Amino acid sequence: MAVPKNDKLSASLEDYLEAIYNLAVESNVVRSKNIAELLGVSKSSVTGAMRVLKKRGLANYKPYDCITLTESGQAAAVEVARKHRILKSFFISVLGVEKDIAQQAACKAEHTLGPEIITRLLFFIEFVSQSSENGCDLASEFQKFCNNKLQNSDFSSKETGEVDNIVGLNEVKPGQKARIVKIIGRSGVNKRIADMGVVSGTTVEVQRVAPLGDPIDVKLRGYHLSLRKEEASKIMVQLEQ
Amino acid sequence: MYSSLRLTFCSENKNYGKNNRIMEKKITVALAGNPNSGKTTIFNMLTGARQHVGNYPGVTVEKKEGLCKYKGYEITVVDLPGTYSLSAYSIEELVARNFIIDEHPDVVVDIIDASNIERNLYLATQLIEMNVPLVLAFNMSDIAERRGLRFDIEQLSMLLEAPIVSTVGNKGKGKVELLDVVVETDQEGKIERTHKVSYGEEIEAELARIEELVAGKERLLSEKYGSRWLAVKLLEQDSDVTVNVHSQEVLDVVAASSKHLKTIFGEEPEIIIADRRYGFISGACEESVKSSVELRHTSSDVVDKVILNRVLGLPIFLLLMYLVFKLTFWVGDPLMGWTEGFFNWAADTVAGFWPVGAESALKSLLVDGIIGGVGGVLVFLPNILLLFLAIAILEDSGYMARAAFIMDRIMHKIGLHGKSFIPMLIGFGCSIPAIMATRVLENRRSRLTTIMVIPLMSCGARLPIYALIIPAFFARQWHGFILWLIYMIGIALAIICAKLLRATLFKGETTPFVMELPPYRIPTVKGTFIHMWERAWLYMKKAGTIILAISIVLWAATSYPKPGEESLAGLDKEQLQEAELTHSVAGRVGKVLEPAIRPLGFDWRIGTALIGALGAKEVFVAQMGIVYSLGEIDEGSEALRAKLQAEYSPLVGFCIMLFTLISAPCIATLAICRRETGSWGWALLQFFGLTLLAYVITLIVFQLGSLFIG
Repeated sequence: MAVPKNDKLSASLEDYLEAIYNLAVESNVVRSKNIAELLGVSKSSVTGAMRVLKKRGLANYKPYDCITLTESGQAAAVEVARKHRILKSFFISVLGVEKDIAQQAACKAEHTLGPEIITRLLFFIEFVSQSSENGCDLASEFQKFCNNKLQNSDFSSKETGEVDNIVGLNEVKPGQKARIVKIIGRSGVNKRIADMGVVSGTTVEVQRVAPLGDPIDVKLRGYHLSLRKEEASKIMVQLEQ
Repeated sequence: MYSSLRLTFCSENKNYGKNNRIMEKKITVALAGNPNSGKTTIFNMLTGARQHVGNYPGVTVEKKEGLCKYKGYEITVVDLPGTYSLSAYSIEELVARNFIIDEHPDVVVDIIDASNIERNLYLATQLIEMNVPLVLAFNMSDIAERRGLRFDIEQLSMLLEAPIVSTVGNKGKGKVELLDVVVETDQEGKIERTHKVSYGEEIEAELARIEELVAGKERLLSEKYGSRWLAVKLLEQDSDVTVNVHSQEVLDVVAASSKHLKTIFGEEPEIIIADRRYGFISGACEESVKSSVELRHTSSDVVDKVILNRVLGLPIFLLLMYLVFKLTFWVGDPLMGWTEGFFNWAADTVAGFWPVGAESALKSLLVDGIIGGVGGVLVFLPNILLLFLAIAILEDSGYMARAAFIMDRIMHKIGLHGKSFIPMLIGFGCSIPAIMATRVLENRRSRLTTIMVIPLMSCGARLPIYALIIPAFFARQWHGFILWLIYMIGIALAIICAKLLRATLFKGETTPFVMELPPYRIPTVKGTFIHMWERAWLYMKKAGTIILAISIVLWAATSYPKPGEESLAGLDKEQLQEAELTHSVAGRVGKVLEPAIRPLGFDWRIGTALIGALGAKEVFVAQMGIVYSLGEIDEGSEALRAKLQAEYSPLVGFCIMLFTLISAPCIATLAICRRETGSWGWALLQFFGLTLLAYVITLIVFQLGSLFIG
């Protein structure tokens, strides 16, 4: 693992610091084995990371000896742990997310969000808890709002649907409009299709399916084009609401 | 030949142009444009009747040329095939492109359907790229206006760097303006273009690299095509251009470039290039095309709601096909009677030149050979004309594309293309124009398969045979059914054969079905008749040339050698004819064939008549008449029917129809098949393959039939 040139610690190093800090609070003596267990990594990776932390003056480490944090290491670990706490409580108390999900998300977000965002989030949590004391429970109002949303539409699938909503043109129903995303593959047919104006960004409307069920009639650029479903399946489109 | 002519034009111009203004200047104009853009109407408008239809060398793409004199200029107008692009995707596109590159027309006029401007301008972007002296004709501008489109012609013309003329081809509007601009553009010659289609930073960087490389490594090619155009085509993986590149370094760089572009864009370079061209068009149109009315549905869309309806579509299609045949035979039959009358009158008149009772070889040749033979074919001219008229109306109105759309599922199942349906339909009239109509098929395998099975579509010339046989052997209430059955057997065999051929000889990927459904248009009388006439002319040419020759040969084969005078003594007229026939070449061949056709239930008389049917199917009827010594007869002849009834069983009658339906198509079809496929191999395969098929099927039917019926 290369030592970062700037002072900023990499996400994994922050994880190590946090782990040492947490283990020290619990049992005073911290060994590489404990760290490896907690983070679910191999002992050799722990050894590597400890060497880096030592080089940067954040931890005291000798092979086969227990590990302690230096003063600056302690400060950095406290900061990470603080971020983690703030994020976790934001996820749980404001957003109303389950504990496990909140814990995992906080572990990831603590490394990427800068101090400004964290401070603001902290203020926001205070703001929400203050407002509930003043008789206006924003958190529970928000919870209701969320539940409503989740019931009315299958929101969780739609959220990921930003990507999933892309289908082959053959799957688009008559009367439905879609925007062309891309054409897959290299063939003479695809070139012809592109020559006919089927290029990304173009809006198409499926007009109808032939009486016997195969070629489809698509309207684009003010004219009608017919293609077999087989050819249409090479054209990826995003459905328009 | 064409290019050498052009060269002389040019040198003439150089020599005399400046000194001698009286000398007519010659200009060559190529008409390019999308299918359905009204290109043909513009061509007809410019050239009137002075047209010449030929072929582009080496390929079976029709080349129409016409002449137009204007203000002392002699303008040769060449109608390029209608294309959407100038890639190497189809023969048509290649032909159009090569004509522009090799023949250097003085002006290229791109006919643009103004009501569908974006897609139509796509071809124009490529002509701009080729840097030809270009004129844009915004055709059907009246329809565009009705749809609420307003063009800032001046600005658009500036952006595209080509003069634009509004035209309405079918009303003859804009002819003078167009010709004026053509003459002007010719005098200007090539212009340096400043507004080029830009493909964006990444592609332009690759193009620059390739351009520089080809300018050094492929000097000849880049001189011929221009290095930028060459670079674009190479990046598009254009097969026709790529095969001419010899430098491996160029190919490697192109491959690396296209791989690089694919990683950046996630799409193939040719798709991105098409994308950018449309971007260029959108940019130009955004500034200069205004749509005042937002038309959600055009009247054409409304018609399609009914005609292509999921439920009604198929019944309407079947009804229309039924009407086509109804028109052909109901309206056609009385007309056929008149034609027949005319030929009888002609035969009588010619026979009248000789004294009554006198026998003369010349008289026999003229009356029995030529008038009888050619007349026998031309009798169908009214039916054929009506069938072609109906098909021309369906084509020009835009319905044929819908028919292909409806039928594609079935055609695709048997390995053909929706468009194969049209030639097969024409096949019910005559195989010759039907085989020529397969030119609409882009894929050679599909095309060859269609050509091979077309003769199984029972053509109009077989009808007289059915008309003779069915009433002779079957009860009245069964007439319709038997006729229907024969047609259906033909169709079923065509399906089976097509499927078989696609699985063996013409194995391979099926042709894609990417087809425009053009807006419905009311066909113009002039356009429809020109369309009909072009096809009918082919049929008549066949009658005038091949059938004439074959009639003479067959006449000779049935008349010579003559038996000796003494053996004929004491015979009456009918016996005399029979004796003569037995002695002739045809009679002898029939006798030789007899052992081979016995198992089919046929005797030497039928064999002789079948030989005649090779020339033209309907000759079978006339030959049977001669064999039975009845003299001149037609399919209405009761006397012949009585003879047939006496001689053969209904099973033999049915086998005759079956054999004539399936067996070798007429010689004219063979000739046209050779011409369209470019090899005798396919033509002979069709000829012998079908005959073998006919033999096997008739054998099975006759033998099984004999077992059951006894």
